[in-house]
Amino acid sequence: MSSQERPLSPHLQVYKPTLTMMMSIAHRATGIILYFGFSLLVLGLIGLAAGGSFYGAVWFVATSWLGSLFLIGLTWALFHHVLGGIRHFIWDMGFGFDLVQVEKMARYTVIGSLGLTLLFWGALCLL
Amino acid sequence: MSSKAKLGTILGLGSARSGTHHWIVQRGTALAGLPLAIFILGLFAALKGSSEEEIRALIGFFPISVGIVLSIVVFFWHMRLGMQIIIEDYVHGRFSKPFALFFNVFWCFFWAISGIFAVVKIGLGG
Repeated sequence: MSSQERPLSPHLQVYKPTLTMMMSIAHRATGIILYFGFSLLVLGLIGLAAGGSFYGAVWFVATSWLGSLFLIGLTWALFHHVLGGIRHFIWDMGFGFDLVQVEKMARYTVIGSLGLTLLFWGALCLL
Repeated sequence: MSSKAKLGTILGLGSARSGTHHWIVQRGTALAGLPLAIFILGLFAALKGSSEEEIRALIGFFPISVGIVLSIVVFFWHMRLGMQIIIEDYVHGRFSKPFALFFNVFWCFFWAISGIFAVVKIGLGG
């Protein structure tokens, strides 16, 4: 575990952003979003259990503008991460390594996550 | 007698020779998490727009409580493993790396245990 500064060849500075590269980054980023977002949801659950003014605070935040935006963003992150996870499962089983298939699955993941988010929240607000 | 250089052994060079279990459990928790994620989304849809009494009644309902606890366990397990990989990829300081790895475990257990206790408390009517 050397702490000496060693030269690194340029990577992010020079690599052309490809779809697969961005999908990999997005999968990790949505994972991080969910890591903290889900912890915040559990905080809300604790507030509910505590009752009284704690629950009042939870309810206020959850129904606020920012809270609603947070929940919508979190559900999008969940859909994207889950669909991306299914992509990984397909690769783990040994299928879908052809470049055409890879790009197709990537598109399905992005469109699917946006579509599912819209569907879910549309149904919630309309039904 | 291993042909690996003694200095290499002392410095910890070469493959870590472990990590398959991590890989398997990551996929396992992901697979278990798929129906649980659908369950949580459905629960959220059912709870939206409900009063505090209705929310307490639904969360306290035994099968729902069990579902929430299972979701908490599976999700935080998956999160712990995932974040561990991220820390191993980006944090290389002599002290910051083990601290970050420990903090990840602490964070996940803290929320998971607190969340489970919260569900139990609601279920018992508290």
